[in-house]
Parts: sequence; structure tokens; C-alpha cells
Amino acid sequence: MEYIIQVLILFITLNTLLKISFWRWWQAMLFAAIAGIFVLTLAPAAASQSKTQLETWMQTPVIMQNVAVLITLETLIILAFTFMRLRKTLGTNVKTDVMTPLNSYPGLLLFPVLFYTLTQLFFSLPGVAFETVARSMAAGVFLLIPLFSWGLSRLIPEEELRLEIQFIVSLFVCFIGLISTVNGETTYSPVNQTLDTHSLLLALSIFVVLLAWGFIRQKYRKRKIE
Amino acid sequence: MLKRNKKTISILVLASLTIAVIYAAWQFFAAPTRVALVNFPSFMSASLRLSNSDRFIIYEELAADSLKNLGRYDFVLGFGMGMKIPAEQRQHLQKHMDKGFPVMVYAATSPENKISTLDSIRQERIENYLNNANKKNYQSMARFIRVDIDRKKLFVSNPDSVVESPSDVLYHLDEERWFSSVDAYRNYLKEIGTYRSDAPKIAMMGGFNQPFSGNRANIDSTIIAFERAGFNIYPILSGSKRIEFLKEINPDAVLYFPHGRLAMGQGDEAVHWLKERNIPLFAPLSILDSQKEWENNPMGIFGGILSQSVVMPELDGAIYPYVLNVQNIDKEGLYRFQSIPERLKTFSKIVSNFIELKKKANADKKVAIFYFKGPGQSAFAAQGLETAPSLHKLLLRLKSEGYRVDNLPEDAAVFERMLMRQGTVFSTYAEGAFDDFLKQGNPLLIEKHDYEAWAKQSMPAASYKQVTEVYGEAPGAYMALSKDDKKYLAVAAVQFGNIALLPQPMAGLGSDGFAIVHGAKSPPPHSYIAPYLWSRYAFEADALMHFGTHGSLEFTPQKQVALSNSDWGDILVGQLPHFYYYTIGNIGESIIAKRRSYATLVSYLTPSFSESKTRNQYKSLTDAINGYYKADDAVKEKASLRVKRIAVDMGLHRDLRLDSSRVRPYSEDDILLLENFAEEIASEKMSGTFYITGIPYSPEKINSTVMAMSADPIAYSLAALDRMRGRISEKELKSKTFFTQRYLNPAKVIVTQLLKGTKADSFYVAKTAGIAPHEIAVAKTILTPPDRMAMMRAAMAMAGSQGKSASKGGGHPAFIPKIGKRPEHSQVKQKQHPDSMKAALHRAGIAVKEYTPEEKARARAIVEIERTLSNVSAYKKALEESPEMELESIINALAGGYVPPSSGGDAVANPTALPTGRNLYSINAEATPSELAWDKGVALVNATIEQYRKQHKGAYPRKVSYTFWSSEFIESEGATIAQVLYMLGVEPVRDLFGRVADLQLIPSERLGRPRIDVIIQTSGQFRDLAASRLELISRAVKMVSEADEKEEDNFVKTSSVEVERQLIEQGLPPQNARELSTRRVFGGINGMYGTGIQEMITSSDKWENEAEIAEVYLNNMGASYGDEKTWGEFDKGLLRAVLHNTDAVVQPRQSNTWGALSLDHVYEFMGGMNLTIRNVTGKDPDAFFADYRNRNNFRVQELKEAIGVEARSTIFNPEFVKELIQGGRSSAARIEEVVTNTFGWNVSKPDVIDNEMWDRIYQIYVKDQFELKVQAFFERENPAALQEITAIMLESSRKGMWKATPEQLASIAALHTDLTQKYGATGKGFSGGNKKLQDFIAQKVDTDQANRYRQALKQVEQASDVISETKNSMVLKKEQLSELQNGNKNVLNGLLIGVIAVIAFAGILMLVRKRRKN
Repeated sequence: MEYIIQVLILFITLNTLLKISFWRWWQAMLFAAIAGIFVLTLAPAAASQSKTQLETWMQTPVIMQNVAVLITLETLIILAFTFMRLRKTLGTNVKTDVMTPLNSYPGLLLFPVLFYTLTQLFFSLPGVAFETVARSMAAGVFLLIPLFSWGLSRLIPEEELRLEIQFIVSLFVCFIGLISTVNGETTYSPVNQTLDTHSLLLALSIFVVLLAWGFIRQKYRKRKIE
Repeated sequence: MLKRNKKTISILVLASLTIAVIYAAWQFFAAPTRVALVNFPSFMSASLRLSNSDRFIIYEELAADSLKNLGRYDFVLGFGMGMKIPAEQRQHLQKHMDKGFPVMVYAATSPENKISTLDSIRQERIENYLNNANKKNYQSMARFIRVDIDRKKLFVSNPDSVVESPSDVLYHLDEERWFSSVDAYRNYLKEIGTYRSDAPKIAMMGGFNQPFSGNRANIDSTIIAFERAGFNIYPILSGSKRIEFLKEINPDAVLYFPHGRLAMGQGDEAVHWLKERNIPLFAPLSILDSQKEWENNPMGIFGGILSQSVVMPELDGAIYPYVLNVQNIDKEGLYRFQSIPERLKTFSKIVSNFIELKKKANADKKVAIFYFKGPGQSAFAAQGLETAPSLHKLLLRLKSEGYRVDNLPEDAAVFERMLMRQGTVFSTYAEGAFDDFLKQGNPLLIEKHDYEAWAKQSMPAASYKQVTEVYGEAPGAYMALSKDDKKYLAVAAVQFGNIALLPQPMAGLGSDGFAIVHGAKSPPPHSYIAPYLWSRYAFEADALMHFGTHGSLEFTPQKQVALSNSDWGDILVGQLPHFYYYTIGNIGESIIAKRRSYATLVSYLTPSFSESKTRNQYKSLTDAINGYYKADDAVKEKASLRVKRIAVDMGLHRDLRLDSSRVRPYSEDDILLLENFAEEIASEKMSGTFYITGIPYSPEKINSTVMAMSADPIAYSLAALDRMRGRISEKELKSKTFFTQRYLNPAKVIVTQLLKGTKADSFYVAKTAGIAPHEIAVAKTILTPPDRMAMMRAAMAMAGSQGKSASKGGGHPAFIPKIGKRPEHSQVKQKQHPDSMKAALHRAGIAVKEYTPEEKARARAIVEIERTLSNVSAYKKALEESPEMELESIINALAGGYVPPSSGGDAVANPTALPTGRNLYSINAEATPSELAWDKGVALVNATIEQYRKQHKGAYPRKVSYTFWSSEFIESEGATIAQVLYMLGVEPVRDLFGRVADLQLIPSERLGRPRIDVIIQTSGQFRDLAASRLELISRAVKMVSEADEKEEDNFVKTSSVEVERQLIEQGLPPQNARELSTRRVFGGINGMYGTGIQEMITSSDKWENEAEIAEVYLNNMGASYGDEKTWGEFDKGLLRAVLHNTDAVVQPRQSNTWGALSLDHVYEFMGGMNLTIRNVTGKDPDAFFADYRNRNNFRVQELKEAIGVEARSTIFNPEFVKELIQGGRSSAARIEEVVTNTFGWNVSKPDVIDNEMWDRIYQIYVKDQFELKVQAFFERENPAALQEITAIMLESSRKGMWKATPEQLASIAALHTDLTQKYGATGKGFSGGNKKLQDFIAQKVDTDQANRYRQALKQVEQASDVISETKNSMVLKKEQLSELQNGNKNVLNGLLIGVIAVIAFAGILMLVRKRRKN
């Protein structure tokens, strides 16, 4: 479970960084400052969280189902952004009142990720002053968010490619989010019931079918063009 | 338009200016004067506020840590005693002062608090108002502040000049009247018609609040209550003339509301006067909290207030620390002292009852005497006392004094049998025996209705409800019966006319079975309450007595001290004068009895002491050792092998953990070890048969006890002087044989001469010590403590006069008398850094003579020699007279007399505890560790580390566990605390009163080793006596944990981080984990006094492996006692986490009357801790005794070696056995206890009890190896003890701890079953309650015998599986895991999914990239 969460965190972070890479530098700095202040502000609360409490939350179906909804919603927003932005890049006119909020939305899942990461730092650094840990993390967040998002924009200068990757990352966030929340260790079944593979298979099937459909369709269109 | 606007604006500006001017004028000339009162005791600030009737003067209290908010005040008036201003706040204050803000601190006791911006005239005026505490002066002071300091012009009243407040006067209810002579006061009483010529007189004095300061409701209530109770009361306001007044009044009792001692600076004179006049001194308490706060506080009172209100008065022989007054907040928010009406009524009745004892004829007095006895056929239990013969002696004496003691058998044996039959206690499972008791034991039957009516009268309804909730409606299931449709409680009692003897029933049943003796939170059962209520309401006793150390009343819930109406000690003693016959050998627990059951103690002697007489047994070994030392190098090896052969044959190598190979010789160090071991056994002080009240030791025993008291101090002091003179080397001193020959034997000769009548004048002392006669006086001067008060006053005055903003003159709080000395230990909490104090003294021109440690050590040796030599004959006399003095003291106490105070400890450890028959007192915890204890603590830590490193290739122990016990604390003045602090690398900072008020880190360079972590297990007794020291240690641990040092230099820091990590892993939030990570002091949950594992260990059929015992220990001893806020808090998993890395266990040992084998609490605490550490860490820690028995030679000894010495000098020593079998039932029980404890050790630390030890017990007590007819002794005195001994041996075999041969087992089983058939089943302990053992025993004998054995067991029918209930109850209720957590999970492999996700993502990225390239 811990590993899934870590991978999820990785993708959420990547997703946010990719999203920010479409912003101007001062916007990224502003967001990083907010994230840093968030870390500093939430430090006392993070120090009051217990490992078992977090684990219990992550193993409580109701909570995780709510998280799944949030993840799905955020994924939807980011997916919408990628589509709209792509359309705009490709020259299609997109209404400003649709594009502006989508463009401005940074990805709020990063904040629980930051909170969770801070708790994990507190858990793994006994004896180190909480202020030191929080300040170091806040500084790291403040510096690294703009740095990495800038790095991503330099690494993948083509906007449509970045959008595509963002799209894929969002899908992964959604996918892993669903696995880690709706399935896995978070549900409890009667003793004699075997692994509930239905939802997993269903999700996988939909994914595979849609992937195959998209792939074949694209091939078909390509061939048609040729 | 513009013009109109301009006009409007002009009007507005003008109006604003006018308002501003008016406001400024108001502020300048008329606004109310706000005075901030900082750190004033609430009763003083209440008095100031109550005295002030001016509406334009407002007093407000301001905390010392809120001084930045001074803007709204016009003047700050601080109270200096105990004032702690944080550095940051001090800066704020200074800033305000620099701007001219007026500030003055009154009664400052430290230079840094000597703050004032007032000129000397104003300052003196304020001080005079406060010093002459009365309403008028307080009002004038308020006006003076407004007029002269705040300089207001309007709404002012001019202050009057200072009116001198009365002092050294008597007073009454009229606040305007006081009397400087007793006659004048008496005339006044006659005038107002309250004087009764024949009424007893009560002198009343002391108290926090002054009678003329307005806040005096409690004083008035007390006067009225005592007048209503029929007394003439004489309230005295005086400091230095208290004794003069007392002498003139000649009262029948003294009522002292304590703050320090009764007569300041005249303590001994006061005691002398009380003794001469033979009147009791009562010291009721005033609580500085509200009634509700106090009632809800399980500690009662704590720290400095405990010392001043309870400890100090005890030095005067004061009794009854009974709470009378509290400080409640009134509607106006003022703290007012108030008496609690129902407690005041009860207390006046208590005093009446004492005085009634003076008047009543002995023939009419009724006394209820409780004694302690285990269930079934257990012997009576009183430490060091043959209880039944002693009780018999007391009854005979009472009879001869005119008490009505009817039908008392002349023969003590007949009397004892009566007690065993009628005055017994039953296990809850011994229903058969109970039925028999109902038929033959002639119990008292208390009807349910009567019992419930008494309960209603004697306790709050809520308390009785607690009883019924736990044990059901009266009479409950135990000691209950129905007859003629009525329900009764049966109470075991033997009544001889006006004297009733009652066994103290079990204080817990069923689920509290394990906590019977040493307390738990549960209320006592009906069967426990009933005899006390019967004594009061049916028997109508005039006095209550507990006979022998100790019982369970003082361990009932809940407050540590300063009991309330719902504490069981308070409820059950009620209004009866209570006396407790208590051994000098257990000073710690005696103080608990004194404070938690209002007992006036009457001390009794321990058994006598003599040498173990084993020297001959080791003669061949010592000869061989001498041969080794004399041998040439060529034959040294051969000589060593000879020594080794003898040592191995005697089994000594096992005790010393030496090898047994007969071909490899011992090293010289090993031989020295053997030599010292043999010498120690030979010179070990053996305590003989138990003491019987009223019977002096035989002349031979008196001489041997005086020898034990005197020879060591002389020998060790002479050796110390020689060592200082360089006449002997350290190496020579390490040899005990050398020491014995050179110093101990000559010292014995000296003592013998003195016993024969040689006079020990100063020339004799000087000659013996090898010094000039005048050196004795010099030595005494060196050791005389300086007059700290005088020094401090001078220093304060000087420091004040030199400071820019300070004033001259000393402050003077109202509750400290204005004239004469202050109390010896006035309460000052302010930290005093020695250097700043020294500097202040230097400025004051006070020469503080500093002595070097060497000078002090030499002085101590000289004074010890002088004291001992001069007192040899006094010791002898005291021992001869003590038995008679004890009886006289009891008779005198029962006649309402005064029992003079004394210190405690066995006679060898503390000769001043003699003569006995006195009321024991404790020490001031705030002054511990004393300077001497600190020096000894440092030496012991060095010795512990040295020994540990020797055994562990130079490694330092990472964490050391210490046990805190109350008696060792009192007798050693905190030597164990000193060890803990020094182990941590922290040293005490003393204030000028010598108290340890703060701590400082010892710099690493000076310490020269890493700071070693500690863990403390405290007994409940220590916790109750010295809570502030536990707090001090917690501060030390925190300080060290936070030190900025490398990990390798600070094990405490590393350990705290590890504890934090473990706690986080266990699920604690990091914040909590960090707070808990520095906790190191642990003790019993729910205010328990013991660990509760003893009973579990001995219920050995109920556990299979030691982890179960460890779990019980962790749960029962897991409450932490670090600070007041979290006092007694239980945090699951904390103790387990803190125990990690514990490498050694150290147990203090201060008494010559017990050892690891003879006292069960040693294995309970030391063994329990050891077992738990082993289970938590997987490593058996080293175990040491910090041995304080010889005050001249504190040392460290390995546990196994100590057990070896004890076993060889006592239970395996024919001389000891020979002496013991001269004793009675209790002496037989003593051997039973040793065997039980051997079992306990075998469970808790198996490597200290080897197979051979059980073999020897078998040889001596089953096979009668010494041919002393031990079985005949047991059968004559106490067959149940031998039944139990054999049962324990069989159980240790059943549990696989003793590899006994089939022959041995058959022989023991045969003896056991024979005894059971012959004398009946014991109905207790191993033999009574262990079904698996009973089956095991039955298998070891033939069928016929097994059947007869089972038949005998059946007669004491076992009704229910009580023990299994109790076992479960010992463990704190575990948090139940939720069903959710217990449910089966659908587990997906997170790692697999994670890897798949990352790979998939990478694959897709590559795909995208590839497509882009295309």
C-alpha cells in the first residue's frame, strides 16, 4: 500500500509540475511560495499526526472513496485542461472563461501530498526539531517547484508533447488512485471471500479496450491520410 | 459650501482637541490607579484588595510571564519570594523601568529580584505598610500609591502613616482587639462571657494569613469551632515568643497551622518543652488551592509546601496533617481562606478525643488494636517482630496499668492459639475454613442494616457507592452469612474486656487480589471496612492502634498526602486518636502510615545484630590464601590451585562468577575477590530472632549489637585517617582481611573496653584517632553548617544597596513573623547560582570559609570517631531501656500524651534512632541530595561504571536502571538521586538554604566520560515522599537530551531519539512522542505502591513463560511520574520503548535487617525490572546493589555475590539456623519468606540462583543437615511454614527451575503430604492455591498417601478460580482492536503495482517519444 501511495504521490507531483510548466515564471514562484507557506503553517498539525492514524485513514474505505472522488475530479479538470489547451495550440478557438480557470488551476492534490510528505519526514527524522524539518521542506518546496517545472519545460519544449504527457500522467493518477482507494487493502471482505477482482478487471478491461480502440483508430486515420 | 465644510471641520478639530485635553487631564489628575500585583500569594492579594475601599484604586494580579503588558498599569508591586521572571519578561520590565515606570518588588530573596525604582523613603513606606500587615495599613498603602507614586490629584484620600501592627499578642474574633499578656486575654474572654474555668486549653498559632489583614474567615471559624467544642482557645500571633506564650498558657494541646517548625530557631527547645509538658502538637493543614482543586488532586500537596507544612512540623513531633483550610474564590474573584465546616467539626472532635484520653480512667478506655496477618495459617506479619508474644506483652502491660483486659491467658502460647483460631484471615477460596471459623471462631456478626447506617455516617455517599459498585451490596460474598432472614458481615476479633484485637482483613478481593497489601485504586471491600466501623460505632473505642510494621490501611486510595473526606485512610480512622507501633527499620513506609492514616508512630526495635560466626567455616580457605600470599613465585601457582580447589569445593566460585577448572590457577585479583568474599561473610551482621515487645535483648546480644553499631565507624574512620596520612595504600585498603586485622579487630577491642566502663574523654578520643585534642573542635567547626539565613540576609542587603535600582532593607512577608528568625526552611524557589551568591556574600563582606574536600573528609572521620567512642555506653543504655520506653510511650500516647520525635533506620545504620518508643520523622526532600550524599553518589557511580567496564571489555553502560525506595532515600539523604544525576552528567545547584533548586550540566571535559542514560522505577512510597525529586530528575533528563553534544558523548540524547522513533513506530504522533521521549521515571499505575508482579510470580500455575510476567510489569509500572501536569499518566508502550539499551540495574540497600533473599520487594522491583529488560531487549542486564548499609563505606556489589553472602551468612549458616529455631512462629515464617524469595529470584533472574542453592535448602531444611531438629521446630511453631517451603521446592522442580533428583522429590513430597495430613491444608500460597502443583505432589507419593493428601485439601474447600481472575485483572485492559482491523484483507501487492505503474508510464513515454521521432 505504501508503495502505491508513493507512486501516486510521484505522479501527482509530476502532474502538478507539468501543469505549472505552462505558467509564467512569477506564477510558478507564487505557487511555490504558497506551497512553502502551506508547509510551514501545517507543520504543527503534521507533527500531531500519528503513523497509525494515517494508516487507519488510508485503510478506511469511506475516506479513501472520498479521496478517489477528489482524485477523479482533479484528473477530470487536468484532462479538460489538456484538451482545451491542445485545441488552443492547434488553433481552435477556446472561450476565455473556460480556458482561464482551467489554465489557472494548479492541481490541488499537491497540498495533501505535501502534508503527507511532511508527516513522513517527521516520522523518519526523530530528534530533529520540527521547525527545522518544516523550514527545510518549505525552502525545498519553494525552490524545487519552479526549478522542476522550468526544467520540464526545457526538457520537453514542445507544448503539445507536454500536454500529451500531462494527459498520460493524469490517467495514471486516476488509475493508481482508483487502485489504491477502491481496491487493495482498503476494503474488507468476509473471511471466506476471495480477492475481489471484478472491479480491477473491469477497470483494466475498459482501459485496454479504450487504448486499443484509440490505437487502432489512430492507425486507421493515419493510413487513411497516407 | 466650502466655507460650511471648513466650519464643520474646525468644529470637529476643536471638539477632538477638547476631548483629547479632557482625556489627558483625566489621565493625569483623576484616572483610576491600576496596581499590578505580581507573584503575590493569593491570600495576600486578596487581603490587599479586601482592605481597599477606594473605587479609584484598582488592584489586578499579573503573571510574572506577562510583564510585557504593563502599559495599562500605573505601578507594579511584586512579591519577591519565589518570583521567577523569565529573561524576556525581565527585558520588558527593564524597558518600562528605563522610561520611568514605577516598580517595586517586596520581600525579594535573591539579588536579581531586588528591583525598585522608588526612592528609599517611598520604598520603606511601602515595606512598612506591608510588614505591619493589617487592613488599615493596606488601605493606607493603596492611597499612598495613588497620591505619592501615581501622583493623582483628584478623587484621592490621603494615606495615614503606618500603624504598627500587633505582634507577640493574643487575639480573638474582634479584629480591633489584641492582648500582650495571657492574663489580659483571659480577662477579655471572661468579659465577653466565653471563658470556662474548667475547660481544657488549646493554644493556636501559625498559619499563612494574618488575623489583622482582613482575610481571616478560617481563623474565626477555628476559634468558634473550638469554643463550641468546649475549649478555651488561645490564638497567638508571635514569632520569637511562641514558647514563652505556650509556657504561660500551659495548654492541654497545641494547634499549629504550620509553615516550617513550631518555634523558629528553637526547634529543640520546643520539643523539650512539649515532652516536658507531655501535650500533643497538632498540625492541621491549609491548602493553597480551592477545595475543588484539592479534592481532585491525587497528589494532595507537593514540593515546598509539603516540606513546610508536613515535613518540618514532623520534626517537632507534630501529628495529624489534617486538611482544615482551603482558599476558595469568592464572587468578587478574591481568594479567601476558608475552613471546611465538616472537617473543622471532625477535627475539633479529634482534639477532644485526645484530651479525653487524658481525663478518662484507664479502666474505662476502650482500645481497638489491629494486627496484620496473611490468610490461612500464615504467621502474623510485622517486620522484625514476634507479633503474638508482643501483643501479649502489651496486653499484660495494659492490664497492669489499670485497663480492663478480661480473660487474658497468662500463657503467651495459649494467647497465640486463640488469635490463630479467632483472629484469622481467609483466602477468598477457603470457604470450608470459613465455615469452620463461623462455628468455632466466635466472630462478631454485624447486621447489614447497622453496617449500612455506620457507612452512611462515616463516609460520603459517593465513596460508599464505589464500594457497592465493585463488591455489590453489603454484606457481599466474602465473610458474609445469612441467619434468620438477616444478612451479616462476619468480623474476626478477639475481645479481652475493653481491648479488642482485630486482624486487618484483606484490602482487596477478587480482581484486586494482587494488590492486597500495597494499594490500588479500588475501594476496600465491605469486609475491610466493617471492623473499622465496628470499632468506632459498636465497640466505641477511645483509641485505634495498628500493631507492627506494616498494614494496608495506609496504602488504601488515594491522595498521597493531605487526605480528603473521600480518602479511605481519612474515612476509616475517623475521629479516633490513632497510634501505630512501627519498626525503626522501615522509616520510609512509617512516614506513609503517619501521613496517610494520621498515625502517631511509636517506634520499636529491630532484631539484635551479631556477627555471622562463620569465620571457622572459611578457615581452611583463609589459611590457603595466606599461604598463597606468602608463597614464593616458584610455588605461587601451586598455592593458587590449592586456594581454587577449596573455593570450588565450597561452591564459592559460583557466587563470584569465577571458573572452576582445577588446572588453571586463579589470578591474584581472583584470590583477592575470594578473600574479601570470605571475610565479608565472616563479618556480615546477622540479625537474630525477632524482637518481642518489652523484652530487652540478652546482655550478650546488647553487646554484639553495640559492637555492630560502633566497630565499623571507628575502624573505617581510623583507616580513612591513615589513608590520608599516607600510612596505608589504596591497594591495602581493598583487602578486607587486611582491614579486619589492622582496623576492625582493634576497633572491637576498643568497643569492648568502653563497654567495660572505660571513659571516652577528649584525650582518649584524640589518642585513639592519633590527633591532637583541639582537632576535634576544629573538625566539628568544619562540619557545622553555616548560618545560611544570616548570610543571605546580609548578602541581599548588600546586593540591594549596590544595585542602581535597588532599595535597602529586607522584605518581610506577612506570614513570616516580623521579629526573630525566619523559619529554618522558608520557602524560596528562586534559583541561586552559587557564583552570584558567592559574589553577593563577598560584596557583603561576609567571609565564607571554604574547606577542601580533603579537609571535610578528615573532619568527618574525626567527628565519627569522637561520636562513636563517646556514645558506646549510651548505645548500650538505649538498647537496654528501649523495650520499656516503647511500652511507656504507648501507655503515655493512650493517655493523650506527647510522643517525642526521632529519626529512623536500623540501629547500625542510624544509632540516633535509639532509644525507641518515639515518633519517626522524615527529611526535607527539597534539600536532597545532600552534599554528603552527592559525594557518595559520585563515588558509587564511578564504582558502578568501573565494575561494568571490567566485565564488558571497557564498554560503558548505555542505560542504567535505578530503583527509588523511601527508606534508602531518607537514610542516605538522596544518595540514589545523586547517582542518577551524576550518571546523567548533571550536578545540583544549591540555594543559600542548601536546597537543590536547580541543576546544571557538568561540562564533558570535567565529566570525562559519556553521559549515561537512566531509567527510574519508583516505589509508591518514594513517590509520595519526594515527588519534587522525581520532577528534578525529569528536568535533568530533558536538559541532557537537549544538550548540543555529539552522540557518542551523550547516550541520553541518542536514547531519547530512539524512544521517539519507537513511539512513532508504535503510532504516536511525533509531537507526543517527542514529549514522552525524555520521560524516565516510572511507577505504579493508579497510585499503586508496588509492582504487583510478586503475586503473579508466586501464582506460578497461572503463567507459562516469563514474557507474561514482563507484560504485567510493563502495564503495572508504566505510569510516568515526571511533572505535576502529567503525574501518573500511563502511555502504552512508553516504558517498553524507554527500556531499550538498558545494560545494568542498580538497587539501593540501606538496611542491615534485610537483603535480596529476605525481603520480597527486592526481587519484586530489582528482579521485576531485570526480567522485563531481558524480555524487551533480549539481553540480561548486569545487576548491582548500591550498598549504603555502612555509612562509612558506601559501595557497589554484584547481585549474585550479595545473594551468596546473604545465603551463606544466614539460611546456610548453622549458627543462624540455630538462633532462629529459638524463635517462634514469625521466625519460622522468616525462612519460608527466604525460600519464597529464592523462587522469585529464580523466576526473575535465573542466573543468580543455581541448582546447588536448592540442593542446600533441601539438605538443611528437609534433611536437617546440621542436625538441629529443624522439622521439630517447624512442627512446634509453624508447620504451615514448612508446608509452604516444601511446596515451593516442589514447584521450582515442576517449573523446571530446580533439577531435583527423583529421590529428593519423593522425600519432599512425602514430608509435605505428611504435614498436610497432620496439620491440615494451609489455605494459602503455593500449597493452598496451586492446583497443578497439588497434582504434581500427588503423583510423587503413593496412592494412599495421595488420597489422604487430597482429602486434607478438600477440607479447605476451594470455591472458585479466584487467582485466574486476578491474573487477568493485573493487566491493564488492552485496547480492543476494532473488528475492522481484525477483518481479513484483500491484499494487493503494493510494490508490484507501483513497479507496474512506473514501468507502464516509462513505456508509454518511450512510445510517445518514438512516435514524435517518427
